[in-house]
Amino acid sequence: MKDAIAKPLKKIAVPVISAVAAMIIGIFVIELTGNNAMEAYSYMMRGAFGSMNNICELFVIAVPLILTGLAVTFAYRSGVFTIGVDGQLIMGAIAAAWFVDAFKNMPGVVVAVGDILTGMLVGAIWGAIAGALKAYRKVNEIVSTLLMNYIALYLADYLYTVPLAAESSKIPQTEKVVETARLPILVGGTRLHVGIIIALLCAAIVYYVLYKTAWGAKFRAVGMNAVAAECNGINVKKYMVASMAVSGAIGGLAGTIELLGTQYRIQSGFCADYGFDGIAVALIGQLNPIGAVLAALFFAALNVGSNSMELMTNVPSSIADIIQSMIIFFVVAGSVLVERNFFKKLAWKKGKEEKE
Amino acid sequence: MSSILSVAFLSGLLIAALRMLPPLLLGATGEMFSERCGLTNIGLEGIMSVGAIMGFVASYFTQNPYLGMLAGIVSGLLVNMIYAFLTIQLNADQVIVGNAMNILGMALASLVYTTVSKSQSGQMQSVIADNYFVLGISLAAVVLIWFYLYKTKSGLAFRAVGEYPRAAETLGINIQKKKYLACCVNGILCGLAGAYLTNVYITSYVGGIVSGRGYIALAAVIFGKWKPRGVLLACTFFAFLDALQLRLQVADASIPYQFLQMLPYLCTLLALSFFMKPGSEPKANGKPYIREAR
Repeated sequence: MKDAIAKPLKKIAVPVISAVAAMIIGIFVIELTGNNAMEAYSYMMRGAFGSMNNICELFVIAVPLILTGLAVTFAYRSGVFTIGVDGQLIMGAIAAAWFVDAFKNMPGVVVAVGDILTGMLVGAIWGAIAGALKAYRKVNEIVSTLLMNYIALYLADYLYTVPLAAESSKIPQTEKVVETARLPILVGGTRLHVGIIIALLCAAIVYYVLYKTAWGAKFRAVGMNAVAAECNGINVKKYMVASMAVSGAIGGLAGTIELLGTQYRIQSGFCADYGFDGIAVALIGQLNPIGAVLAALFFAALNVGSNSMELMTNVPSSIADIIQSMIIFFVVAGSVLVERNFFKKLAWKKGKEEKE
Repeated sequence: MSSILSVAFLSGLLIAALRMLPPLLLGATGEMFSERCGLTNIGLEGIMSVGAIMGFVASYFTQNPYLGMLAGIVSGLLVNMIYAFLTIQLNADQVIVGNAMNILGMALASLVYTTVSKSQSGQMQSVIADNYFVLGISLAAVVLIWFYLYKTKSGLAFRAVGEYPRAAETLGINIQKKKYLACCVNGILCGLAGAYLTNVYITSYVGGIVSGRGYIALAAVIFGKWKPRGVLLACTFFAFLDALQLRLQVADASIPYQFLQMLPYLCTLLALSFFMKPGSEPKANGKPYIREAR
């Protein structure tokens, strides 16, 4: 019983302490730039939570972060260390942009649903390629997904510059998504759309699949010990490819939702490193789907808050990224200390004392 | 088509490629050195960004590009010590730390630039340094590292750490010392690569000036099979592609230049998947060395 409380507490402690420590470092950095840190932080808080509109904006930013965080979580849990969510996101989005333009005369709901499925499918294929290269050609997935991110980026760049370019526009971008196919707005006067519900639903599904189904248990078994899983009759290679396909599908979903709900068209800078942020989200969420949702909301608050802080003070919004990287450093260091040395040594000492 | 094959075009291409080469070669050589010791650092982009901004600021205030490059070197070295401490001392996951290094480096560069440029009036400019000076340094770095890795006893020990650290340690090799050396060299070379961009390539600072060179350098290490000569060839090839791509954008808009930009990554992926014999990579690359583990 004691363990049932202590274990999750230990898991939450590392990210929370890390976040606090990173915010404290943020104070020093802001003071170094010659600004008032407390004033900056209070504008950051107001920017994130100050009004209904700001809170809605926070959720809008959180949608892609939740989804990319889930994509990374699923792959890491299955023992595949992907950094390819950016590529899957952009490939999914560009496929979705093509679909929505090609079928714009059909009823809106049909287009939107078909579009989401298209985006997920293309993302899944893009992910599965890296999974197959790992399983059958022994190509390290970190390297292959990194390379495939850039291939996707330039491929998408070509596609929205030439074949999918909007006819009337001077800068390279796709046609705007037709209004009927856009995701419905939840709160009038804000940008908050149904995507947040899809993202939360997705988190619930990932949690359910990973922890409550035999299928998910097999994924986790492959992630924990591939050799043992193989000995127990699990086709490890198939599960590697499948885990990358699932991760890619979630990445593609992130791109499609971003297209249909928030940005409506693809142009340079569409992706904005959501995939890389997803790694941080997954890590700070301790590779748990619910943790990923919380971490994504925190990052979104940091993002939205720092943007309005920049408007009100002289502090650049890049301070949010510095805080973010510091959190990652602290979480990594903290997890290592917790797992390897610190707590074990304590437990060992305690055990010895009890014996005596 | 005739305009593409003219002498003027080709010589222009060669000069442009030589301008593109130093940052790639410096970054890739540093990364190769680091990976030969078992440390994969995907944070090159971030380290280069720090080198670029610090090199620029120092050069702007001193009006001396060589001091600027020195500042780039020192800042690259210092920022890579974060990576070194976390991965060597704490055995943290190298990919996650490298990823955070990228976020930190780019944010730091943007923060320093906005803060400094607000206090200065007018456009900030650095002084241009000689292009071939840095090219010479980067070629010398390749030769020196080749000599160290393959012709010295210490270099043999260094490579052993990247292949099989447990055996290396039983021979009395100080693993941590070798890994710190790897991180120092990588930080220095990437810092210089960044400073090159703001002191030679252009003489001002723009956000995102590194623009993926850190990642191309990573690809070049793999494409060059983790060997000095291979890395040199890979970087030269990628620098040519980059120069060609830029020229074609200007000369002939009908050729989709994006495919040329894609080529370094595509070539590396194809080579890695189908043409490369397994076993080129240092065996302990990317794996933390935990002394207590069995």
